[in-house]
Amino acid sequence: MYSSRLIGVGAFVLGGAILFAVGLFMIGERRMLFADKFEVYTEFARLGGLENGSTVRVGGLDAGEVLEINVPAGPASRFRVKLRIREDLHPIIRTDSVATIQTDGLVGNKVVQVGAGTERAPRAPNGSTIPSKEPFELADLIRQMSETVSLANKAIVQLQADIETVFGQVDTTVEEANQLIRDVGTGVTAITAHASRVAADSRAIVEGLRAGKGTIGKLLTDDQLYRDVASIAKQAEEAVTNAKQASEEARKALAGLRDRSGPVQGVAADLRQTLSQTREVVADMAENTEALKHNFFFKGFFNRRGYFDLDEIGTAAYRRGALAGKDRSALRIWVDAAVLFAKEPNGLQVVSAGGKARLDSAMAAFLPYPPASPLIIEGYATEGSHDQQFLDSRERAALVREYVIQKFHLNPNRVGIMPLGAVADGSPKGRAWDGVALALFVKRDALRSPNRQPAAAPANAR
Amino acid sequence: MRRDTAVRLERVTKAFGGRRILDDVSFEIARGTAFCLLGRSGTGKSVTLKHIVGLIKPDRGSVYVEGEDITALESRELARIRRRMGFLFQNAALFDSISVGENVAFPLRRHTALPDGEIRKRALEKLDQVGLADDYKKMPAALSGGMRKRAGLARAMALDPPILLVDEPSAGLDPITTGEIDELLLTLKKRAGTTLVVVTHNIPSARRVGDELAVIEGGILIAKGTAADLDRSSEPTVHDFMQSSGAG
Amino acid sequence: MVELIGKQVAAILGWTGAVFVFGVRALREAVRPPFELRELTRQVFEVGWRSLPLIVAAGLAIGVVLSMHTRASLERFGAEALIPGGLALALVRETGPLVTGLLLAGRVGAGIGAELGAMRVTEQIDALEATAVDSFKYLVVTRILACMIALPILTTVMNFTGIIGGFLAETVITGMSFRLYFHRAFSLVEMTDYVPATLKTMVFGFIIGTVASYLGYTTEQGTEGVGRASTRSVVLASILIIVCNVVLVKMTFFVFPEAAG
Repeated sequence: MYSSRLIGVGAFVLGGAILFAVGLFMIGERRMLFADKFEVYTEFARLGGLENGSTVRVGGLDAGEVLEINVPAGPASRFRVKLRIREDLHPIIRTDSVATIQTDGLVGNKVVQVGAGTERAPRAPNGSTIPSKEPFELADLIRQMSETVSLANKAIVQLQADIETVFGQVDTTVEEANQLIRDVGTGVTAITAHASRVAADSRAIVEGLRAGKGTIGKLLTDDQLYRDVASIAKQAEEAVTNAKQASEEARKALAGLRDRSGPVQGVAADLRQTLSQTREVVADMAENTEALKHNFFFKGFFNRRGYFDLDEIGTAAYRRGALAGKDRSALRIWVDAAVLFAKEPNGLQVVSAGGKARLDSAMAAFLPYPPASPLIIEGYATEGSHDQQFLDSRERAALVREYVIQKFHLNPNRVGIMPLGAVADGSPKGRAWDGVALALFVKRDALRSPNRQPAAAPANAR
Repeated sequence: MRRDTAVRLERVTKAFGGRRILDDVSFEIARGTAFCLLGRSGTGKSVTLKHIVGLIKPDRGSVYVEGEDITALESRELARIRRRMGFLFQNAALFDSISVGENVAFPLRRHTALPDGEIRKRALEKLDQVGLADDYKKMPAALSGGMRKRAGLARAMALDPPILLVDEPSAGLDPITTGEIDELLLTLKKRAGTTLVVVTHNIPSARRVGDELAVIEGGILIAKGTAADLDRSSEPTVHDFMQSSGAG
Repeated sequence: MVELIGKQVAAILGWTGAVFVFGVRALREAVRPPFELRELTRQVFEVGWRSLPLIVAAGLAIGVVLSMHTRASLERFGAEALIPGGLALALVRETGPLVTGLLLAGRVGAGIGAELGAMRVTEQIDALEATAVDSFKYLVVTRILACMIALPILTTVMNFTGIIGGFLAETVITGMSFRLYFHRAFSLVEMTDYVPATLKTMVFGFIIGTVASYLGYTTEQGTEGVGRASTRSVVLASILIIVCNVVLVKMTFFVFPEAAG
């Protein structure tokens, strides 16, 4: 027989103890105090705020805690971190599992993330050391980026100066070559225009970086960003390499021009080709720096701009409409071969004066559309064998491309050729065509308002 | 010191805040006798009683209970002596968080190993002796002043102590009940040989119960002796006091 | 003037010293037999069991309010998932212990102060002594111990009812299940948050019991003194709890540096 008071006190004390124990258990369960565990080591040069008791995750699952952190003996060695992990996750912790330090969401707790290993590697034994990847530090990356970009910038500025010098030499060379080709001047102008764009873009990149630091700093440090920034850094490096290579090629090309035994002494077509190559190299650089500039803040720059590498589109894919895609329509202007071409006395095929006039008027119809719209010169030829048709159509397209790029200062990367043989569905002559077609792939939304030109934009009102 | 001395005060002096309450008080109470302390209010009667039970320690002098000087005892020893004494406080001092019956049972529960039923039986017995047999389960706050006093007496008697200290047993009681209490005290003395120390200003009651009477005035013991001795006293204060009806 | 301040300071120091000695004496007496288990049980019942309704009601209300506040601030960052954890952390670390301490200082401090004061004034304490009962052990030690036992338990109850209150507020808005809420609640709480914070309330209990017992046990000047003992018990115990909490939190951080995180 117990009094009700005694029962009350018993309930109070026991209930309180049980409730307290529930709390202990809830924490203990999270800290895996009651599960079987094993221990592995990993090493980091920087801890980035990791501490004893920090959570360990295996494949994103809370799996244990950091048991202890041993301070390195000297600057050369790293912090040795002891991890305690749930035994039931042991099967996926292999000797090639990689440990990384990551930031846990908004509160910014540091956690150790251990990746699952591969089947090839054996299980990481208790007490063994697994490899690690150093924590990603945004600040470091930005510093690295700045260095890379300013390096690129320097290289480009240097390159520009080189090119200017070389261009000066081109002029001399050209004069020395007794102005073999009339349109060399135009080509040089185009090259110079590209080169100055390179310089401007480089400056913009550096400025953008300076301004962008704050913006990047504010962004959360998620994995995606890490990957983005890392790939941007890689791209920047590539750009610099490209730029150097381009510079080298330009130098070589122009050296070739000057060489008395070089193409200057040869046919005009060769000179034209050399010039065209030089121009493309410089334009590539402009494109690269442009991409670099934008890529800091946007991923998928190329895709978003609808950029296609024309070199990678084959005839069959082109016919299937690979370039048109979902959101572009092709505007086509058909030009007959008879109007376009003339044969020079030496047998070289050239664009005739009438042909030029015809092309100029065709291009005039295209100019109102956004300059970024890819222009494809489709070549067609009906004479000879199938192979001959293909070769002819290719040459025709190449000639026309060369002309329009020069004449209208088009970005060579956006102007492609497409040798299509004889078959031309929807041509004015039915199923075949002899000549070329200029196809401009315009975004549908731009198509609806063809009058929108840069000049039509309102001027800065004061 | 006589072997049959129950209580002896030797030159006890006590002052509170500079005011002398007891001044060189000495007396001796023989075992199995009733000693009545008389005097007006605030003259030090209650303080004397509290000295005997060790609630107050004298500034000077000694208090002997059954031959032991309790002023020199440490608390455990003092507790042993106290278990041999019952004390009725002036205002009963019932524990008001427990029932009247449990108040009486309290000393039994504390100092005996008796089973619960036996304790209740004995407590009820004591309550019956003071005429409160029906009030076992009442809370002290529900009792009148006189009833509380009687319940307090029952508690003081609970352990059948050899020495019973009673502070104003009849204050606030009607003459009939007062008579009954007096009879009860006399019976205790006669049957169990209990030594009684009674503080009162009810002279008729003192005459009835007291074997020896003492009068305190201003902290000084001014007279001591049987009722007849005091009646013959030449001291005017004592004379006046003995002639009063006792209410003052 | 200086003399007056000096006197005041001396009075405060003297009082503090007396209470401290009183409390230490109680702790020393507590480990010596006889143990007043019966009275201790009664006091645990009075202090603990009888405080449950108050603590449960307060806990639920605090849980709801804390939940609403944390929601308001965490929502801004889109971190609603942290509400249970943040609420539980706030409760377990500080709100639970402190609020329980202050509530008990009010309810029990006043009760003990008044009860012992009345017992002193009506000579019940003397009566106990005359019955050969060590009144200090019987009345004071048991009450201090009861407070020390009851407070951690009541704090735990407060913590859990607070979490339940938070759950109620949460489930009304998001319909979250109790299981998930409960799990999330303990997602941020560490042992070093939970155990020291709960056990430190034993010190609060000691403060409440000691201050109230001291003021009640040493009451003078009749009925008026009883009222004063009661009021001063609440005020002084509350102040001491708040001040002591600062020291205790600092000590917790010192002993468990990870609790400061």
